[in-house]
Amino acid sequence: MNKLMEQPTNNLTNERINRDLLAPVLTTSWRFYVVVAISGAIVAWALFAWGWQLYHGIGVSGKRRPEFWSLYITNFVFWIGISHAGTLISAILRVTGAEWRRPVTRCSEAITVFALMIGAMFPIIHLGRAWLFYWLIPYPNERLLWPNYRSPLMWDFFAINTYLTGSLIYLYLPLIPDLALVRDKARGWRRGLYSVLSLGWRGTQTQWQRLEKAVSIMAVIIIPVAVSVHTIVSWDFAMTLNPMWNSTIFGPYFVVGAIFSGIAALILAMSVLRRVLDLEDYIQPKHFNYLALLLLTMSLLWFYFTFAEYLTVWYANEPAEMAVFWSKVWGPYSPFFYTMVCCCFVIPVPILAFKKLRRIPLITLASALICVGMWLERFLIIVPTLAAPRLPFNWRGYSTTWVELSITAGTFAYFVLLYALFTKFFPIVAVWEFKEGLRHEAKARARSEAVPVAAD
Amino acid sequence: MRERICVIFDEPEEARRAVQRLLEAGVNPADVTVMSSEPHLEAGEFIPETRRTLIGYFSLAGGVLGAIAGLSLVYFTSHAYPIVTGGMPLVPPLTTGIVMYEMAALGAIFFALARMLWEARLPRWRAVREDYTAELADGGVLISIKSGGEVGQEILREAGGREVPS
Repeated sequence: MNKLMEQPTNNLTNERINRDLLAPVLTTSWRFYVVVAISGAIVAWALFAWGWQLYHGIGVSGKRRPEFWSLYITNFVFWIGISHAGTLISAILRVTGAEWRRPVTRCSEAITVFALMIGAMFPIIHLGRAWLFYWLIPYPNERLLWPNYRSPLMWDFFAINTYLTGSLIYLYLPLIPDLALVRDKARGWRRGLYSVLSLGWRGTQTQWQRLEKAVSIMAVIIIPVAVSVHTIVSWDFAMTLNPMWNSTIFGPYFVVGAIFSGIAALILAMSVLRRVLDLEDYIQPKHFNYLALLLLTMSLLWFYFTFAEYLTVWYANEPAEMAVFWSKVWGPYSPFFYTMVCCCFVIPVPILAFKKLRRIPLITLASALICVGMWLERFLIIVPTLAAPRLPFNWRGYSTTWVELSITAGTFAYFVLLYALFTKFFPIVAVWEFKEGLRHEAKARARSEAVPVAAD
Repeated sequence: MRERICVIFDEPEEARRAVQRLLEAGVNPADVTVMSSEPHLEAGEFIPETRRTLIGYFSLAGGVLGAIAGLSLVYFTSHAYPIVTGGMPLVPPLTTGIVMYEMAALGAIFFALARMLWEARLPRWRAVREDYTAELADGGVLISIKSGGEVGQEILREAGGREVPS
């Protein structure tokens, strides 16, 4: 039997599952404080950089004509893409009844919520005058002025808010029974906190039935919303007539890239969690194996879309498009381009395709490379096009500043911080879902063992 | 006579049989509450459900209302201050469709959530103090009967349950 498919779940008793999965919530290790301190310090530095930008003006970020969209919008697209890890993958696995999803769903749903929160910050940071962001919100005002609903930026507002709201609810609903579990196990102020958060859940038959129904419905609703979000983000670019942006396949290309980077981020998170929180018996090699196969599929799909995109541009040979094309393939951005291809395709595909190489450390390495590659892909979509617009008098090479880099680094640290806090306050593996899965597994095993007896 | 009896069973099957016997003995199904920290729904219901869930219909209605809200938002606000669009429509169907789509999803999500909470009778913090035991966290199925009397108590004990303070 393939080692990846081994199932060391037989010795997991109810008590042990509760103890193991609630341990990070009920006890605090020194590692938590270290993570919080380091990530908190980086976030504090990023806040200082943002304050600097607010005080001195957006020019300190390195954004100037013609690159009005640079790292902030790169980060925006990247994080919105990462958000596809969770709710979309969790919803698809739930709708298709994939039993192996159970230990993975919550950690992926949490990624979605935090990645969306971080992604949604970037348009505000990018505005420069961040205090005016509320102009984007459609609200009655004395001048009867409303946002332009024909603008893709406005669609972003609706799509991201819908996805964030839906993802928060989709994360919270299956969390309620586990919050009740923590309530029953906790003492002192924690008991009070979890009593409020669990809404008085008792786990009656009606409550379970309604919860499962609601979660199923949410799963069905959230899939098209997730697809729409990244499609709409792609339309921020595709609706313009800029070289290498005005493409009909940008929607699916972005969605594929988002799911690709999302799965990679999920694998990275799982890899860290199982080590740091001692969850080896719950997040098992088989979960990495299944996700690695999914990642392989997405890597091939991503390459197919990238190839199709570049081929059509090259074949058409339109001068403005070719200027951007050559800047990526042979010009100043080519190191990034080839790094992206290596990180997203050349290195991960053999790792993920060959069973002998498909081991947790290598899968994690491939996922880390994919995250880097996908960030570069977002950068390469945005910056080279803006650096070489249709009128050549305006061309300029892009250079960044410490402000932009600090804020970028800060958002990665912020993600780690939020995730660490989440694992501190909530069980990162859905306890009741995991137990339910074990019961289903035991029943299926009993049924399969009973078949030959019946045949005798 | 005690008003409420709470009995915990280690095995869901035992609990299922006990509920069956309670109902056969004439205990009102509305007086029986079955609780657990896991769903245990795969083998059917403990108590026959009399009310169908309307979460799906509410979600659908929420979707329709959301779409109408999206259309209204775009249409009325665009007409409140009609900007010059150079002969293009003020409310183009394709772009309005995107706003309607997102609002429909939002409406469906909110209505499904609201209906779910309503049907599951949440939030209801007081119920935990009245009719529940934290022992459930370690597994098992809790059966609570309201005004079941001596008969109910006897049946539950015979069925292998362990009485717990609620």
